[in-house]
Amino acid sequence: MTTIIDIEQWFKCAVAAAALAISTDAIVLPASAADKPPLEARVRKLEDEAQIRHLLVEYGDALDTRDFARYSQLFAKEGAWTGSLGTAKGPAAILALMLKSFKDSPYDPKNVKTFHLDTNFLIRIDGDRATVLSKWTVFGRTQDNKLEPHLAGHYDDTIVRENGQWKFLSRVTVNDIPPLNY
Amino acid sequence: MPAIINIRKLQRAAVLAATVLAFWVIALVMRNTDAAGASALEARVQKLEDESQIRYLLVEYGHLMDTGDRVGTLKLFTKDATWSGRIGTAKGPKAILEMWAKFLGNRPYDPKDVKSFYLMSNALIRVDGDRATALSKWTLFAKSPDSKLYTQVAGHFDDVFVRDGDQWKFQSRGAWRDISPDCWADGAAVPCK
Repeated sequence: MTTIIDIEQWFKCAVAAAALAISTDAIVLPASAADKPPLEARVRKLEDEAQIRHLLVEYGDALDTRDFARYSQLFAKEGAWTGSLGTAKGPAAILALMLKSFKDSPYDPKNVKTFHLDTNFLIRIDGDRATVLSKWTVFGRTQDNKLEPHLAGHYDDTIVRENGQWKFLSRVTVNDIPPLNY
Repeated sequence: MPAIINIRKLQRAAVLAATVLAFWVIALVMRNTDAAGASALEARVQKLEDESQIRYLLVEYGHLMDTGDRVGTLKLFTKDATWSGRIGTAKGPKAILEMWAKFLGNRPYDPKDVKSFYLMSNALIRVDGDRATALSKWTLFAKSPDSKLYTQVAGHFDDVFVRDGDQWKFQSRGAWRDISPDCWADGAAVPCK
């Protein structure tokens, strides 16, 4: 007995049906998303923003806890820190500058003297590079141990993606109140 | 005698038709599932982007006010937006600018002599399609005559935002003082009781 249908003919038909289905699929895809970047790129930008936000806060934590090894690794290979202590370029030089500058004010979790309040993040991401403005306020103790704001200023940053991690390419620390002229 | 209809050919055609139909049904189901999934995901991403833009706007307002750029600040508002505070309510950028000039005076910004700044926090953002509302807090830090930093005033913002093209803008901002060294009566600052 012969088969009802020859397999080759059946296969051709199946391919034709699949191709037709796929081509129709492309035509009816929603047009609304067409003028926006692909979804993957949009999600990536949101993830980048979250990581940069984390970097900004981690900087304050590493500084407050005097963890300068971690602190210096938040900078890119060519990353530079500029502020009242001068300028240092590269994690090793930044580590050396901070160890020297903060050696007389160690961190003691049972007797915290100061901390940074990091706020007002304005994050602008463009591919593998971001520019960020933010504010810092250092709180400390009065002579009778009351909490009070001591100093405030802002950071002017350029942040880059280096080996998949966002790092400071340049962080400029500006003292606003009281002002500091250097 | 040959049959009028070749039964074998008919069977063959039926199997082919069934195959084509089966593919169509499968493709249709897959397409609808895919499209629904993609557009639901797109909507979730859009909402996160909206929240991010509104968060930026809340901080940008403070940055522009701190740097004395009131005209720039009002570019964050729609043409018929209202601003309300203890100095009154004004509608539209021009009227708001005039009210600020009248009651707040001119405060030119000097980066070497910063007088005050807004610390923005506690953003509660609710996005609903092309409209959003937010509550947030502001604390004004200032420089005393002997150049010391102190907290001067704190309050909250009560905002409505609308989507204007691909940008979010203030449709209304209530800028309210909560804790302040002076109180407000009959349009003027008076000592608090």
